[in-house]
Amino acid sequence: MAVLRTESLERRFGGLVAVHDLTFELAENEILGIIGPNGAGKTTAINVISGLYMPTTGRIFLGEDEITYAPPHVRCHMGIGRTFQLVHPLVDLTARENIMVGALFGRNQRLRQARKTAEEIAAKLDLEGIDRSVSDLTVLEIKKLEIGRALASNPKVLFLDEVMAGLNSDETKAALDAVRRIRDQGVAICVVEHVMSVIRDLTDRVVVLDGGTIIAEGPYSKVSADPRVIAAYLGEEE
Amino acid sequence: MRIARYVPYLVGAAVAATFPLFSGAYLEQVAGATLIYLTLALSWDMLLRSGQLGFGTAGFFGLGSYAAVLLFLNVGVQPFVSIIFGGIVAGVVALLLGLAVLRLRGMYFAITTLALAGIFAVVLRNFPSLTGGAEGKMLPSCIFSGDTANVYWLILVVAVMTIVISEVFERTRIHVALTSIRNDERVAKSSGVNVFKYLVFVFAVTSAIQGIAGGVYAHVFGFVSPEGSFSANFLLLPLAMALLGGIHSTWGPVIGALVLGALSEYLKLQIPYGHLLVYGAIIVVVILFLPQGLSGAARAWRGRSHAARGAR
Repeated sequence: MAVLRTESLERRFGGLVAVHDLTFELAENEILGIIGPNGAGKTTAINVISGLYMPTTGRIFLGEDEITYAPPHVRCHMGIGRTFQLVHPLVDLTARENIMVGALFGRNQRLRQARKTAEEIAAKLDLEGIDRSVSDLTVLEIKKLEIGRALASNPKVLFLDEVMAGLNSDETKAALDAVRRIRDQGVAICVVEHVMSVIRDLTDRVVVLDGGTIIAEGPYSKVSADPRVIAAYLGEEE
Repeated sequence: MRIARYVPYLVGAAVAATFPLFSGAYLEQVAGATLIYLTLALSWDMLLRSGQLGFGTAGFFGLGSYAAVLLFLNVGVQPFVSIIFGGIVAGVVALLLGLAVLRLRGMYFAITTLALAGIFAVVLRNFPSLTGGAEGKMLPSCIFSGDTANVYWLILVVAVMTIVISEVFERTRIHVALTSIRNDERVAKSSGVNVFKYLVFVFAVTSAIQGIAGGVYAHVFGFVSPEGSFSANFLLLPLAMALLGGIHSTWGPVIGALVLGALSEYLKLQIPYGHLLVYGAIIVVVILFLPQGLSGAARAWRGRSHAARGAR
């Protein structure tokens, strides 16, 4: 049974079709990779599924429930969590409070409970010193904070939009472990990533987007050999 | 050490509560006016904590004034009841307007709320049979028959109530919600914050506070008029106070209001009308050199001296 399912999603911005006929499923405990060249519509797809943009046509289901036109905060309550490609820590809150946002409003916890939840999640992500101000955090710590905030709302589905970007290889390894641990707790994960080694090592299945539409789908070993995928990344011979 | 932290607050509270016992009518009036502006400054800042720059302060203040005076004159309720009614009217009007206006952000929201004072004044001026038109309405007598000590205590109650509400805003989930909306609305939404609900709520609550302040002011001075009750002073002076003291906190606007309230009274005596220039200059200087206001500068200074001591 799919945790998340989309049917022919389309999103246009005026004349530009950013996402076209996007139909895919996310299974329980799956880590799905979404790859594609710049402008392929990966982030737009996440924005449509998490509710920041409404789809022009198509439908979205979370489990049995249709969420196509639900506002973003309601989707969060229902179980969709996400991070942002350009990290947006809430700079006037402490690290702990950043994570608490998810617990307080995504899961409707009380303040005291949410404080504890933030501690537990930070421990899971090896994020120390959570009463620091966000401006004192390293890039890796901010990425963890971003994941922690999304996790705090107790999502069934977690979208990670390029969380590995800008990390060195040790940090990437740490982040990969963290993502696997999250999956092991029963969260289906969808990663958008440009770093191919991350996609290779982490994902069970990959969806390749180009020009807003799916051009290939399957395990990494299969799609990476697909001539259409290679052409999309490297350009076609004339 | 623990107790020492509360000493300044206790001293402040004691001085504020007993002020009329050791000052005359003149100082009581100055203090009362300052506390009215303090209420406006703090409520303006409470909305700003959500990232929304509201310029509706004078509008809701005037609306509360009119609502209180008209209910008092036409229905004959107790002054206190009419003051609370002024707050309710301002709050309900803000709630209804907020449902439409709070879809706007940034300058668009600011400009729209700026227009409210003008719109309310025009509407009220055009129902002369009820509102007295351009002349406004006079009360037969002022509240407490003008006794300045009682007036001061009444205003103090309103100011303390506002401080309490502001602290509730700062210490509950409301703080996390508003700060997340201010820092990044998309993150807030995606983390489950019902952004629109919180904005409408804060807009209504802060406007109700401004309406109550307006109701008190009208009962203290005994009249309302389109020009007087919606004067831009009820927007600009509170704004300057909050900026001077430091925004996004309870004590910043409070300190700013006390400092500027005392200063402006002194300046009024020294250079009549010139004090308006000084307000403008203060806003410019604060924005350029003290963007965190007096309280922010004090925090930074304390932080530096802590760091210096730690280094030794």
